[in-house]
Amino acid sequence: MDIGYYVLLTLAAVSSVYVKDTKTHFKIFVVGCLLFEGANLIAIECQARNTFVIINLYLVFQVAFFLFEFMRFNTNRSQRSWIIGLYVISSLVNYFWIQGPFTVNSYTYNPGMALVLVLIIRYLYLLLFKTNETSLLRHPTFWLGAGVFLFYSTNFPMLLFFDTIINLKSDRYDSLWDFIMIGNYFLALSYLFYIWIPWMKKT
Amino acid sequence: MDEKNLTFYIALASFVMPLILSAIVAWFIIAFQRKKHQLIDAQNTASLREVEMKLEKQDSLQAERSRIATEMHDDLGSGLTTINYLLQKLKDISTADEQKVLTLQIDTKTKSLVSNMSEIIWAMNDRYDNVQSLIEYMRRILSDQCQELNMPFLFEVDTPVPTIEMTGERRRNALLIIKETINNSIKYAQASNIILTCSIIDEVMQIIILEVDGIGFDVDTKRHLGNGLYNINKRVLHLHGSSLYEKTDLGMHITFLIPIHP
Repeated sequence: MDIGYYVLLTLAAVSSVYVKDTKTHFKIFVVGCLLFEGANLIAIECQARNTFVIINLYLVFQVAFFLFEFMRFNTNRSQRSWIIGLYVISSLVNYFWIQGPFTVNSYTYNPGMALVLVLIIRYLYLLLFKTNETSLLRHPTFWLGAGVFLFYSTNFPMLLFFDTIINLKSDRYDSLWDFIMIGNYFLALSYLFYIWIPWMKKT
Repeated sequence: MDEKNLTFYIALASFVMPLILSAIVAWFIIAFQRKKHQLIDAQNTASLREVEMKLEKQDSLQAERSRIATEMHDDLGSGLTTINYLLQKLKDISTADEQKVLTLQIDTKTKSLVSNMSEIIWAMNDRYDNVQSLIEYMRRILSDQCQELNMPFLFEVDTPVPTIEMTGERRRNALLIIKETINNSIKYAQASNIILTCSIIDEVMQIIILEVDGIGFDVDTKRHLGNGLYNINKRVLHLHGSSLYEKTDLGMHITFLIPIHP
């Protein structure tokens, strides 16, 4: 099941490089995601002490990108830089000194994703009430937003119960991980949509 | 929290969040589609209205062409035929007196044709599409007709004339109403003086013609007898206006109320 996700992500990364109209920041993001996932896979294969060392950094990278992408419709460049900068700094502080790298950094990930959800809802509101658009195919950001929604839906139980699962030494971890993989599929698909829609529009 | 509770809460959380977020996306897509259909409907209505307006414009252009053609035929065609007939007759006449009479007839007819032609051109020219131009033309008509028969006249404008647009067709109809009325007053009223007062109130033109010491007439009787009053009434109705004929001690008061816009 996981292989399908990695194939989709690889396809998205390759497409982002070869499809002309892809924005540079998105190219960096998708290729970065692929590198993080690759590093994570290696860590799992090598039975590294704890894969969360990489996953936490990956989450900071991901949330920072989502903030950047969806804040474009609400803020100016300077405001954007400040908010993302503060988020990255607080995440790193949490990573190194508060929750530490070996557990899910929920203190920064949850507020970050909550902000992303609010920004997506705000974006949907603007798209619906402040434009005269008639086709969603002209809006790759919408598809990315839908992908993030589904991705966060599947992440949510894990983020909520991770500590409890560890404390109870429950075997629910694997089933929740499978659930997260479904969200990952949708997220990878939304990346592909984000890349292909402007290209399809031209051709 | 024990294992059983944990399983329950995980299952709950696994349903709640996807449900909420999927509901938001689904609501958005439905609302977006609804708005899309509304926009398409609005665009279609606008295009339809545009086509209708184009057709209306074409129709009015066609009507204007027909009107001009009819007026050219009625006013100029018959006049030219008469002049041609008089010229043919002039060739066969030998006495100087008869020649003089015919020459005078031709002269009058030619002047009338020139006047009619000038009116048609004035009505067609959009440079004169305003109330001011109509008032000036009315003054000219009154002056020409009264001077021709040595009838004293007075032309007054009561209110300041605003710059309001008035279409050629409406100007022409209004002018013909006044022209015919002045003509009747000069010919039949036996008036000592004609006073024309014009005022504009709330985009309605009020024209009062006073036949001073005129004998007056019963409008209902005359309307059945002559073409003149019938045509005046028809034009007034066409302009969505009204007319009032009053016999007073001063003479006959004829009032027209003509809206500047339909």
